Amino acid sequence: MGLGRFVVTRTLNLVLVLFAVLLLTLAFAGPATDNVLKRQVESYVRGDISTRCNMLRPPSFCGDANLIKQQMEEIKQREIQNLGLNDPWWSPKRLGYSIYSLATLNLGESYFLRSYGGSNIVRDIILEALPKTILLFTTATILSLIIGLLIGIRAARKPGGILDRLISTIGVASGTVPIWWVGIIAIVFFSYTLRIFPARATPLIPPSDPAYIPALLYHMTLPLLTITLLGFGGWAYIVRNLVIGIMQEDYITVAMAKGVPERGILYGHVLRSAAPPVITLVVLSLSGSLGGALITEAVFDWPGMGRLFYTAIGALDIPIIIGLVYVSTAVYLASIFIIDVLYGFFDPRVKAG
Amino acid sequence: MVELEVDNLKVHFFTSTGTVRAVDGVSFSLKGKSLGIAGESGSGKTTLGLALMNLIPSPGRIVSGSISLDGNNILQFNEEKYRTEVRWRQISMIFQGAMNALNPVYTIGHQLMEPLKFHSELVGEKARKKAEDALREVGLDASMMQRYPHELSGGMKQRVVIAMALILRPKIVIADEPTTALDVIVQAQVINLLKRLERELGISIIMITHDLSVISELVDIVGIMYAGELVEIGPAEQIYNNPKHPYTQKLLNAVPRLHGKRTKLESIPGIPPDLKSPPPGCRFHPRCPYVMGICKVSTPPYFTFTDQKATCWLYKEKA
Amino acid sequence: MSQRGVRSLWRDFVKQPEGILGLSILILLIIATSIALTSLPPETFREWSNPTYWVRYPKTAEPAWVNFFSSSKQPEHLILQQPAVNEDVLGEFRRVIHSYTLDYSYDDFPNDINFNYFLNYGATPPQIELRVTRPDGEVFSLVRTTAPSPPAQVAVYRFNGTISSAERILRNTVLQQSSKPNCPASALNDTRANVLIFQVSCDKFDEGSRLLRGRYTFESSFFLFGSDDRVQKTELIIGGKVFGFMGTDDLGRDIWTGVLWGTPVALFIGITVSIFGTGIGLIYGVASGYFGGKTDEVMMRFSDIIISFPLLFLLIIIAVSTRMTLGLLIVILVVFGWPGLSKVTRSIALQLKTLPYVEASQLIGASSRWVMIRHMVPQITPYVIASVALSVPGPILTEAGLSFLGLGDPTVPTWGKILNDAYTFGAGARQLWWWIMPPGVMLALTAISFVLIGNGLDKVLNPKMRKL
Repeated sequence: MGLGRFVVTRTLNLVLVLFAVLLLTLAFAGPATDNVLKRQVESYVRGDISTRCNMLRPPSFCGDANLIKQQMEEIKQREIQNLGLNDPWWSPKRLGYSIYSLATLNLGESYFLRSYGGSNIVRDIILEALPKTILLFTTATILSLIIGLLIGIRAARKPGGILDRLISTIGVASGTVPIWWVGIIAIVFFSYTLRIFPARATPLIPPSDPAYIPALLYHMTLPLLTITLLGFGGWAYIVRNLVIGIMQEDYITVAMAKGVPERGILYGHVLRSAAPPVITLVVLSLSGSLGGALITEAVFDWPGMGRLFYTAIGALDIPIIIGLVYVSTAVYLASIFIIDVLYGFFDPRVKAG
Repeated sequence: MVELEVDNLKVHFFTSTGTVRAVDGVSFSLKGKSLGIAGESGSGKTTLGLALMNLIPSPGRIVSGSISLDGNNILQFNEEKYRTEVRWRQISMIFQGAMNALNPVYTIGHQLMEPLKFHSELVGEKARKKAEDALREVGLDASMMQRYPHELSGGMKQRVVIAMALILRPKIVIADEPTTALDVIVQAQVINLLKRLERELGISIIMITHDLSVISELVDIVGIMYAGELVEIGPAEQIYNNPKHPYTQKLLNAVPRLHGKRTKLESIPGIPPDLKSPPPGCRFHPRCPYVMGICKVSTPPYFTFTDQKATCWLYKEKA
Repeated sequence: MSQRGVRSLWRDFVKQPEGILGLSILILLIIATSIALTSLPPETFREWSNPTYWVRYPKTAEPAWVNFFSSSKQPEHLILQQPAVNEDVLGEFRRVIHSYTLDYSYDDFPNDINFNYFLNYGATPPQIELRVTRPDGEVFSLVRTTAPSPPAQVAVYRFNGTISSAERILRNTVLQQSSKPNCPASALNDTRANVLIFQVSCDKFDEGSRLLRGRYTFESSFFLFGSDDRVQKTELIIGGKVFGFMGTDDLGRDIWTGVLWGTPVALFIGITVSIFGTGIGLIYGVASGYFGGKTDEVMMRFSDIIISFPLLFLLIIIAVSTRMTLGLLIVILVVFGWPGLSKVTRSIALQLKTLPYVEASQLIGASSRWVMIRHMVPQITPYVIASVALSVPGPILTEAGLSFLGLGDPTVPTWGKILNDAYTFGAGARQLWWWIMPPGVMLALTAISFVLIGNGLDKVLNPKMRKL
């Protein structure tokens, strides 16, 4: 197929899927947005009119209740017209506008939430939170992966041994326990009972403070430890299975026959063969962590995308919600794309189609 | 000229359902010639080959016996010594099913050069040159070096595997079913290649196969394995023309011949024995057309006829 | 799969430690479900979120068995509803006596004492008396009162009243009658009847020895005047600090009940979504692989879209904009859950398609549907069975997460919901371990059991996983 055509096909795929996902999101969020906006308009208009009628020289209609109502309706309709809410969200004009703005990464302004610097532009708010999520989850994933790799290989060398059986049980267990619950327990134990770590993972000083970074890292310790501890078991199990499977292949026996030492076999042949699935899983879990991070970040109160989403839900700040969905989906799809390309690099059989 | 002496070799597999006696007391000696080991699936021939490489996978183990190469009992070497001195340098192997013998993620060149990396001082350009020479030796072009295994046909892969086995100029090459899964023409090519290399390079080939017709071309001595034991061994000519053991006779009858009288192809009744609990006495007795009382009770020893041996009670008086 | 095949597979399955472990946990869960469905009163399910239902239970009580592990025994919360009933006729009126006897051997005073009574009466309201006899013989008359007059035109008036130790009147009454008034007034300022009734003296301020242990009898007498007047029911609630298997939460809800109810709900969610999702995924994948070509392309794109969709976000948005019910959640989980399996089944179907017997049946003239259903699906099913088990924890955990965020179905008690309440009430900071741990442990156990079963099944059915 050739690398070029491969890339193009996958890109088209990605764009198509992204588009569809956006459409669906807008479909769900659209009506909600409109309702919220309309209610906002109403309360704004009401406030405006009552202010005007309380002034020293109120306009003429303030005397008559009916006239007041009429005025409110008029102004409300005018505002709604201005905001373009007259057309339903799925009208081509609005839809086109929405999609266009999303494509150019113009995510609008938030309703209520602000970034640390006070900006209410959704893009800024998200961009402020994104690195923190990446920091926590990428580090955790890499740590669990490394530990898992080492332990998994170790276990696979002696199948049926103690370590191996331990991994088979714990590996299974640790992946299925809900992280956020363990997080709560960890916070209760380490923060409240033992008082080693802070209970909320948000540093109390603003980002502009030079001591922010160390504080952030200190606050990151408990969530990092929790996530890594729950994560490495799963990796170890996966690696162990992969390695055992690969070790049974004929070419491993051949390599042993050729006199390749055990180290060379494990870290050369085996790892190379295991790389594609492992990398797939790594990238998937990295990008997936952006979504599932929600509850975990909320529990730990970590200032990342997940917590932002949680707060945005609570405040019904729709632009942020839509923006977050967009960003995380785009990242997820981009990562799948990267996987596909990397896979082609690692496994020469794939490139040939 | 290499001298290989195998004495009472036993390889058992200790599984959760019982102990499989895959190789149960095999002895033979080989002096500079080529040996063919023939037998049904499950007769233990592949295990024998692996034992010579000391590559028995768990839960198997070499339980007893000795393998003597040029006077040294190599079974007494520890793993490290075996790996650096014996494996691939003195004894190498062409594996069954070349389809999987090559790692799909490494190039042909990489895999050819691998033994050089661990067994010789050849690196870089010199190693590449040697690998390319090896390819040419088996009739492949040097451009194969950059290719990946999946780009090659079955026959080409088999040649690569052969080239890989020869690259260190070992004394013995064990070829385990080198022609299975290849079509007849390619089969012939591979056999011819092996013959040529045997002649030109002076290596001893131990060929393991279930296909008697293939062995006849290539080896000097033929051994027949049944249920983990070597039931007959002798020069190829004599085995073919004058098989002594009933099992050998049956095997040969099952091979269709182009020339000679048209006879009916016979199959051997019954199924191969369970190696966890083989039949008492002579292991072939349940399927043997000449079975006698003593066969069911007592294992026959080797009865020698000049340079041919067979373990069968039929020859109790004649030897 | 033949009969013999199934039996031997079963034997292989139970030989594995994973299979046995997973299965045992599952059996425990099923037992829990049965207990829940048979012995728990259904009102506890319906009224889970209704605080008034739980009024007679202690708030934030630890489990009763903590008393085993501590030297000082915390008072257990006692709801006594089986009095000894005596009735005698005294001339114009009847006297009905409900008496409750309890042996109080704890090391701390009860939190409060509440006596509820339910009466039916006609024109003349009954008189009510309540006395308590202490182990040392002292008798306190707590209450002497008359029930309120029934409103006019009501033939039978149903009235329920409460006598509570929180009332100041009660305290004063006891104080007057107490024969050991050698407590400084300041010490008694805030002491309520629940303490006074049970205390020995306040010479020493050591709480432990202040408490009088022994047999207490609470005797309530109702003097009824109408012939149809009835004492429907009485109950005496001695407020304790510990209660039940798993204690209670801030609303007084018995956590053991909540956890039990959560079991069938969780199993229902997980198994339903898993079965439907797997079923759809199986058929979809087979169809896609079987038809191949453009159809396959389109079908795969479609399932790609669904896989990429951020499910949690969608659920949240829906929960925020409309009401999330259990049924809706299950439907959404199924709709977004099936694509995962379809890739695997599709690749197997692609291989099967080339097999001769498939071609043969096509040549005979079998319809596509026939070929797929009769030939391909049965072949693929063994690979898929492990997946059914492995897909169960996902929906359960998703629902738990959603409920934890407060976005689940508010009417159904689930483990996630209990954790949500715990979080909202700050149970973490207050270290109320009995509230936080059980739901999470149940979630983990359930998830682990299905993963174990799934892995065990995988090893048995999938030959590649055979070796260890």
